[in-house]
Amino acid sequence: MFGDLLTKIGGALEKDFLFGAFIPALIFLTAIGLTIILVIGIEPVSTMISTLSTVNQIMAGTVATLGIIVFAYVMTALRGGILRFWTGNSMFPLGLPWGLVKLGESLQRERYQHLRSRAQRISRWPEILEQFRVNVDKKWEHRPMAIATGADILLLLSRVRQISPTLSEKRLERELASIIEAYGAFDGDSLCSVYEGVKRRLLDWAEEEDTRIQGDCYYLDRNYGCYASIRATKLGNIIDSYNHYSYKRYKIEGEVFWPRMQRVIPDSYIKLVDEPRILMDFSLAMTTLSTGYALFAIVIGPWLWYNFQLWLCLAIAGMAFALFFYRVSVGAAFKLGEMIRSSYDLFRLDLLAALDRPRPDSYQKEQEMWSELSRVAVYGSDLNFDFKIIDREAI
Amino acid sequence: MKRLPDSLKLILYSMMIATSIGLVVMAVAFSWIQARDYHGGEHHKLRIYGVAAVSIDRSDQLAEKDMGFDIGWLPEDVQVVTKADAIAGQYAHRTIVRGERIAPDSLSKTLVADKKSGVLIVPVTVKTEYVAGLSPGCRVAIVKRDLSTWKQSAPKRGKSDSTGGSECYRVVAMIPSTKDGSSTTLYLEVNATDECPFPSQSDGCRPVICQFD
Repeated sequence: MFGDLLTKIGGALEKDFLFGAFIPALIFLTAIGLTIILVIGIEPVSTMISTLSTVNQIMAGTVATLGIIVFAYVMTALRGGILRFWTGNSMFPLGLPWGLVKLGESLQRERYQHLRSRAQRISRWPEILEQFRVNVDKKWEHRPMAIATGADILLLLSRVRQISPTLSEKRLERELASIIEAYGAFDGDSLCSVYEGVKRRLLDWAEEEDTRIQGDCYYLDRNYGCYASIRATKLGNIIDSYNHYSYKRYKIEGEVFWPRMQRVIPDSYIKLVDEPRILMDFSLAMTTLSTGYALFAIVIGPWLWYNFQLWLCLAIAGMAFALFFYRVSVGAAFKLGEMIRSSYDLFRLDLLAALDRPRPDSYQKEQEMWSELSRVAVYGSDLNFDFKIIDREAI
Repeated sequence: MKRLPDSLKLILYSMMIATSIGLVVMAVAFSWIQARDYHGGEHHKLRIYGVAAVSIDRSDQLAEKDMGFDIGWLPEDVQVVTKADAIAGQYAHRTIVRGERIAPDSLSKTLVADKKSGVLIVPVTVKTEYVAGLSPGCRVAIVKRDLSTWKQSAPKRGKSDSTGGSECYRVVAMIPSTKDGSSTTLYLEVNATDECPFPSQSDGCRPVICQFD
């Protein structure tokens, strides 16, 4: 029954409005109302309501419903401001967050530089392996005829097991040098298993390191746009990262061409893109309203009941909810970013076609074309370019 | 700003954050202090309480319709009435003006004597069948079942009339027994200086009407 009701309401209202504003407004105002009722007492309130005439009860219900709808519309209107606030682009209220925003940007910049240096590091293992091979080869050429015994091999293999990626560079050099020395003392062929052991370990670590570097690159790409536009919050940087994606990959000005892209993306795919966007709007609205509830508790609370412990607990609960929903919004922004990136990957050529541009022959040519279009769209450049020749009759 | 060293920037940001936090804390503290001063002390709470919908005289029996509701700040330990049916049938110990908060201690289920007024409220339990037709406000005399006067030799209390010299008393309340439906307690207004003219629990007496107010 409740599900049917939700379906009916959902049908009557747009999903975007319903989840992005109406439900958060309903939850917030209900929480405020319930708090006031619990402070006053459920019994006196219900008694007072029961003394109202039916007409007054209906009027009160109507006013409450209208209030929620108006509040939800205000929330919708404030959506841009809310997004700017939580992405660290706002100094609301009265410039108070200035210090926090600047400190956040400073910390995020340091984190970005750290991640970038990790992502751009070069694995040392291929070089170490190459050096080991060259040094062993040198010894191999001057090999004496002595054959390594089983005990010698076991001793050397135990040394091989001692080397690990956590060793310092010098210690590693020393350990490998001691193994290489053995090739000067024994027949190289008898030490094949030792060589294989070292090579396998170094290759494994090289592979592990490469995977980690790839992971760091992916993390950097998905969590940050570029150094110049670092934001104070994680959410801001994630949103910035997917706004920069289209430009980084294809030279498409993302924020300019996204509305045009939506024209060529199939409805079924747009729905997939909308899901995380609605979730992000919902969770950001809930983050804002949870913070609002915490403020209500700590500022308005004493006017309802002079009870510090109660309002402190409620304010902490409000902030905990805000933190929870902020985390949810970060997850939703990450998903939305993936969908927007994939939309550019899949449908950018359709957009070119919709703009009557010829299909580019190469990736480089495509970037040039998008650069031209971006200049036209953003700066109104007076470039001249050819349009695709369309065979209208064939269509 | 961009030319400042990082350490100085951090100090500046920290100072700005401390200032912002200080301003927020001050705003919150201001609200708490104002709330306390406005209510004249701590432990105040927004409450819904019953108020007199009409002016209620002392000794009046209250009905549900006599109570309305109001909302306001009251100390936590102040007792209030929150249900109209809780006051129904109770008696006011003092005058409650219209709109005044009804305090539970200004009501009781029975009338209580107020010596300062020179009047006692004396209960007398009689068979329910004898109280038919009576109502609070009428005057009755208490006589024996055979209608003879209860105590001829007793000094006169109340107004004498045609009931064979018996005294008449104003009925202020009639409460049927909750345990035994066949008996009802009449509350009669008696002069505080007089002796009680009749036993309060007697099967052998009945009220007779002297006059209605």
